[in-house]
Amino acid sequence: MTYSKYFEGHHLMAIRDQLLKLDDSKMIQIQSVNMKDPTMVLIVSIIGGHFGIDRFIIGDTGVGVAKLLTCGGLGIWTIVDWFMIMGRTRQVNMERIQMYMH
Amino acid sequence: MPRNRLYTYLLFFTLSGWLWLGWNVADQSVHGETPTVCLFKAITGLPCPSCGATRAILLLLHGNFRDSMMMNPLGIILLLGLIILLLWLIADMLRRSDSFYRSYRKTENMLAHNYRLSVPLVFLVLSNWIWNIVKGL
Repeated sequence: MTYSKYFEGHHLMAIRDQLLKLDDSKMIQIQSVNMKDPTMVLIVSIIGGHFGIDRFIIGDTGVGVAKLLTCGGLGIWTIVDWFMIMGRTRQVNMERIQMYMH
Repeated sequence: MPRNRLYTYLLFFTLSGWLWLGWNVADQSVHGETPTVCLFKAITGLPCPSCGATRAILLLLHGNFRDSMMMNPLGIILLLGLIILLLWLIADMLRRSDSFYRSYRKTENMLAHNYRLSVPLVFLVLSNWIWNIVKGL
C-alpha cells in the first residue's frame, strides 16, 4: 500500500480487491500509470492556481482555461481550489487506474 | 469532471460573474473606476493575463468597441462566454440533457491532444499578458 497517498481512503479496499483478481500481465501497465501526487498539486495550486496551472496538471483542461481567463474565477475559484484540489487529484488518479483495471 | 459537479461549478461562477459585472455597472456611475479582486496583482503589482477584462466589458457596454479591444481583447470573449454559458447551462438543466457536457469533453480532448491548436492559444494568452504588463493595467 505504498500508493495509498494517491487515493481516497474508501477507494483503497476496492483497488486491493481488483488488483488481487487481476492478471499478472496487466501489473506492468498499472505500475506505469501516470499518477499525480496530491501534495505536489496542492503546492502548485497555492503558487500557480491563479492561472489554472493546478487544473491543467491533473487534466481538467477546460476548467483550467476558465480559471486562466477569469483572473482565477475572480480570485474566489483560486481559493476554493486550494481546498478542493487534493480530493480532485485522488479522484483523477482513481479514474486513471480504473482505465487499466478492466 | 462529472457532469453535475461541472454544471454546479460553472453555474455558480457564471452567476458570480454576472453579479460582479452588474455591481460594477451600478458602481461605476458613482466612482468611475473598478476595484481589483486579482490576487496576483494584489501581491506582485503586475497585471495578470485577464486584468482589465471588466473594464473592457464596461467600455463595450458603452459602445466603445475600439477602446475595449485596446484595454483587453479578452473582455469581449468573456462577455460572450458569460452569455452563452448561462443560457446553455440553464437550457441543459431544464431539459435534463448533457449537450454542453459532451461539447466540453470534446473541446477538452482537442486542447489536450492537438498541439497545433493549443500551442498558438498559449502563445496568444502569453502575448496578451505581456501586452497587459507593457500597458500597465
